[in-house]
Amino acid sequence: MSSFLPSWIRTMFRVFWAMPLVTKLCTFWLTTIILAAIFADFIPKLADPSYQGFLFGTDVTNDGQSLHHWLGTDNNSRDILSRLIYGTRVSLTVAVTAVAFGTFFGGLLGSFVGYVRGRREAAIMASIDVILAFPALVLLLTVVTLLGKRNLLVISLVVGVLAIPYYARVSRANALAVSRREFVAAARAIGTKDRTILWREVIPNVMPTVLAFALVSAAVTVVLEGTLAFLGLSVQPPTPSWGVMINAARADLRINIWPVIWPSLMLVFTVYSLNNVGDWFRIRTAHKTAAL
Amino acid sequence: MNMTLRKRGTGMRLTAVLLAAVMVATACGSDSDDTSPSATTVATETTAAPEAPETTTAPTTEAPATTATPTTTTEAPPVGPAQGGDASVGLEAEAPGLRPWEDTCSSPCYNMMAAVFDKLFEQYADGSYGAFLAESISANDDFTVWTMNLRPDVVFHDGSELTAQTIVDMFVVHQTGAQSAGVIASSKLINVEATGDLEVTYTLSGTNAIFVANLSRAPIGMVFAPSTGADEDAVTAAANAPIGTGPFMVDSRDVDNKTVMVRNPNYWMSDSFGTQLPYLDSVTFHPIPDEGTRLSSLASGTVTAMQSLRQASIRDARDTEGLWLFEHQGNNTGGGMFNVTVAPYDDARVRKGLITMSNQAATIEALGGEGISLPTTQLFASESPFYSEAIAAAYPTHDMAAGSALVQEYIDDPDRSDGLAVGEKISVTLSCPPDPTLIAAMQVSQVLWEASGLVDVELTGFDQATHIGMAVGAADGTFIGTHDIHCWRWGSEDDPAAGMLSGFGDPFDPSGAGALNFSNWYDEEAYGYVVEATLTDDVAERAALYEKFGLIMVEAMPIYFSGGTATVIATAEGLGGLDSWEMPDGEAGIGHPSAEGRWSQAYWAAE
Amino acid sequence: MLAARLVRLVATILVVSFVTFMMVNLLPGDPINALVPPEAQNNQEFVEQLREEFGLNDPMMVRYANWLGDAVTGDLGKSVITSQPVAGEIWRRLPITAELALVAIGFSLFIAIPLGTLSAYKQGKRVDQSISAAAQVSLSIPNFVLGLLLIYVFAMRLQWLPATGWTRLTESVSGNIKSVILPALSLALAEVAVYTRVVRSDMISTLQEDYILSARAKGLKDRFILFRHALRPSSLTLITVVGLNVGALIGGTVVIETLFAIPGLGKRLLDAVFQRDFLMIQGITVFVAVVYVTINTLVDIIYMLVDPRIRKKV
Repeated sequence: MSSFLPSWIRTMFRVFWAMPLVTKLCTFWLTTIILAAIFADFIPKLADPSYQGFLFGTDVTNDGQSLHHWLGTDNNSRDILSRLIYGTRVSLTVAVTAVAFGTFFGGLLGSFVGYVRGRREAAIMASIDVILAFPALVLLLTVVTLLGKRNLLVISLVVGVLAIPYYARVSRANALAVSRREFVAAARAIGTKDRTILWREVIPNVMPTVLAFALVSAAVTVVLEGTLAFLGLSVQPPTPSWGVMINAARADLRINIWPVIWPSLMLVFTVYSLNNVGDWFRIRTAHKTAAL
Repeated sequence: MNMTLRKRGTGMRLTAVLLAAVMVATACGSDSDDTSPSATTVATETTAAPEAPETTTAPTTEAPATTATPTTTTEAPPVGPAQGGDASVGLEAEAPGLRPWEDTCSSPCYNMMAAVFDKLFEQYADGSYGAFLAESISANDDFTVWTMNLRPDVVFHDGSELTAQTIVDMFVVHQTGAQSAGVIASSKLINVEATGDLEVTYTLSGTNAIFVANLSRAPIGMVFAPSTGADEDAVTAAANAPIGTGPFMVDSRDVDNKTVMVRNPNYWMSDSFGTQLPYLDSVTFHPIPDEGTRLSSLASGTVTAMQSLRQASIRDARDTEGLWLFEHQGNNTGGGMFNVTVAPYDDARVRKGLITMSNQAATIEALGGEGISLPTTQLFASESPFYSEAIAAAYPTHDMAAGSALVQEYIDDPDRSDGLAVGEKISVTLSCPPDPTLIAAMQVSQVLWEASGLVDVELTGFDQATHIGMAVGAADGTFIGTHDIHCWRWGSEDDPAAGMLSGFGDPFDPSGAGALNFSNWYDEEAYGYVVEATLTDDVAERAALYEKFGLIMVEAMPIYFSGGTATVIATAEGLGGLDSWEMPDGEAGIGHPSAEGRWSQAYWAAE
Repeated sequence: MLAARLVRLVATILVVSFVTFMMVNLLPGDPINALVPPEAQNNQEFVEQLREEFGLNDPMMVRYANWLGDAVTGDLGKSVITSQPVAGEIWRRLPITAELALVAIGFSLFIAIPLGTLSAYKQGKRVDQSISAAAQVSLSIPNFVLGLLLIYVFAMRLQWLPATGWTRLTESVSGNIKSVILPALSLALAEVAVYTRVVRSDMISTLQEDYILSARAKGLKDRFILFRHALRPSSLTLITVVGLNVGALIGGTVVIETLFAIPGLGKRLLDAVFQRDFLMIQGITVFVAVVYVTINTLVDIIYMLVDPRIRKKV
């Protein structure tokens, strides 16, 4: 790495080189699908995921693998590969929203109550306990049905809001621990304001753990979206989503398993990668925190 | 006027046989690589009734539009009904309950209900009505008083006897039944009286020449035991332990899992050779919602029969060895309807333009129904006596240019109803229940409409209840629905009168006559024909009236068709009789429309 | 202390039931639409009578109070769709879902305990690494994907096991075993990963305790030490994690029961959601939440009773 590169890129490379091979591959996979999802519109020769060639005499429905359609076509003669790539957008959008909401609202809320303790903590944690009293999927199902209209925005927001309590719990536990540390006590002793301590000492020390949790929770979110889609409760067509693709193809599983296999593989690879990289970061942060 | 139900003459019978032969030929045309015998060759002799003189016309050939196609046998087995044996049937959904007057029922559930309950009237193969549990019925001159005679010596599963009083007691339950209350209202039925031991008199508030059609449908046509309506607990219990006069009795019912029915040893009906029905010892119904696993279960022998309304499943079943397929399409067709009170669908150019851009053949292909389902142009299939060539000719065929031109005309109209500027695209919302099949169909329309460059399409999915809630009008006509374009499915082999009457009434009529007019399209002249059609029982006369109505509708285009709905009951090789069941008078019944099987006369073919 | 925990449990259940009630009643679409067939929708009198019957005309709080009052006596109302009592439906289906969940937990512990123990024993060695890697993979396969694959291989291709349906234990033991295997496996795999990790990390710390070291010094066989001395303290953590995972398992049964067409609570809940059967959704959701909260409280209490360190802390 030459010094021409900005320091954050050098840090990223250093982190990357520190990873074991499998984690490197996982990072590579995640980077690839994220880039593919973002720049899908610019991938040369990638078909429009909603283009139904059979209507215009260019393609056939339920086609097998071919040079033209690497993974074949679905029953609307749409290119499966293209739908997989565009389907990544749904999974990633939902995951990113959940992480953003969770880290921001959940992380701050948890850090706050973990630091201030007292009645406010009791009240907030009690309401969080109520939300956590529902099995996540059951709650999600009811809320999504409740909203009626389902597009990517709605699904992401619902999953995002529902992620907050989980993050709050994780960050609270960490904030509790951090608050007992010597440097917090020292800051208090010299009369630093609570708000300053919260922002300067507690939150920065809670966040690394929360971010490691974020990757693992992103994996959970991707599965949740897949499950909702599989049950027919995620985004509306024609937006492609892996779960939607599995659901649409499973009736003909017996005759042709491939349209089920492809999106399933995407799901498994992505979830595995998020878990793997998340775990690696978690262990790393744990070591670092311990060394503080 | 005094009328008894007519039997079909031999002429009709011959036509039916010919028609069946044609249908069979069509069905085999695609994969006639073997000498696969069609159902026409099946069942030439029956072992169950050796004393039977000669049964040269196989019962299987009589139902038009139904074909049992053994896919593997290379030689026609000398089959006929054998006594005994069990059948297990994979259904696409569980019945919410087995109370005809109360529980929402569709194809899978009718398979079960028809095994427990007999109807007062049933349909012949040609769709006309014949006495079943009733023996006869007659009406006065203006069709307001109907006198029905019941079959004697019929007992319920619980041992009680069927009398005229039973029908009167049923009416009490019917008035509060979720399914029956509406039928009572639309059939104009106001009173039921026992005028003899077995004589029942129905009094209507107005003319209804096809009242018999109501008595052949589940809500008020299926006969249940008087004890059922005793109190609220009895009514609740009847959902899972129904008591009828039917061929099978519910032995056990584990909702969402299986319902076991055993032979009713006291069943009143015998086949034309005097053998007491039913043939089977038991029939078990399993709800298997997943299409793929349902067919797998049949292929692997976990069940011995299954039903499906999905075209791709029929395709897959045809490719599976060792099955007999009982296919049927009939009047059942899918499509959509426009809410004509909402812009831009309030303009006929938009409606017609969108329909002209639609492509039925492609929709059918996307659903896997190529060579299985037929395109449709009206509410009636070509076999129906109400089918009209003129309407078929008037219905637009797929033509992007012509369709675009119509929409373009609207877009260029300075007075366009959606208030947008001249030249701006129209936006439409298409909504279907979240069923993978419908979603596939909906996306075909979306791509075609958007391909014109003139239309923005949004797709939404709502479950059936929400769907209806959005579309159903208020009784006083103040609310005409919040829907845009709705997926819908029409058609059954039932007489169309009642459905047409409520489906095309004036949505702004304070009496609520048009609250079920989901498209809100109302044409006074056209509706006049629909009303007129309920005043006569002459089929030809009525067909002419429906044609007049249809020709006006095909111009206004409040609804469109996306292809017929083929249905199938597939059975393990040897399990037959679904297409050949007979009415008490020995004539062929209607078979298995919409994959609604009558298991009373199903049998394992004797070797 | 125990009493405080129980009071908190009751309070949580009350709030949970209230939240569920509000949510379900905010569902879009009039529940009456689900109940009344199209032909009867314009029959105002009839619709009104039904609204009255289901108490849909009362104010929300009155309805909640009524519902709660009945619920305490075990009456959860009746299904809007089938008019069957909700409580009866829950009791009829509970054994199925419970069996499925228990077998899934059984499967996962059966696999996880030996694997986790082995992993801990061979800490850092290749075996340990492979087990960790396998656990991570199994954690990444969504249960419905696994279920579909199992159906494809064992039901459709090999035809060893049924793809759908359920045979009750009371009907046929062998039939019951056959119908539980595939769905339970689909649910178990992700749990295996979680439990293996728990057993492993717990075991590793236990193995460093003095009494284990002394047992080793006494020359006791490794296997004996592992399963007699080391596993028992680890089981406490395991119970906690199993308890915490019940939530995920319940969510899992919704999907798996739907996929395998098993007549359990999860499938009924999903069907109710699709049919807008509001009393059924309400009944099952509250029931499930109560079970979940209760299990977690029980786990907490057991933990407190068994582990003196925690008792002191609280």
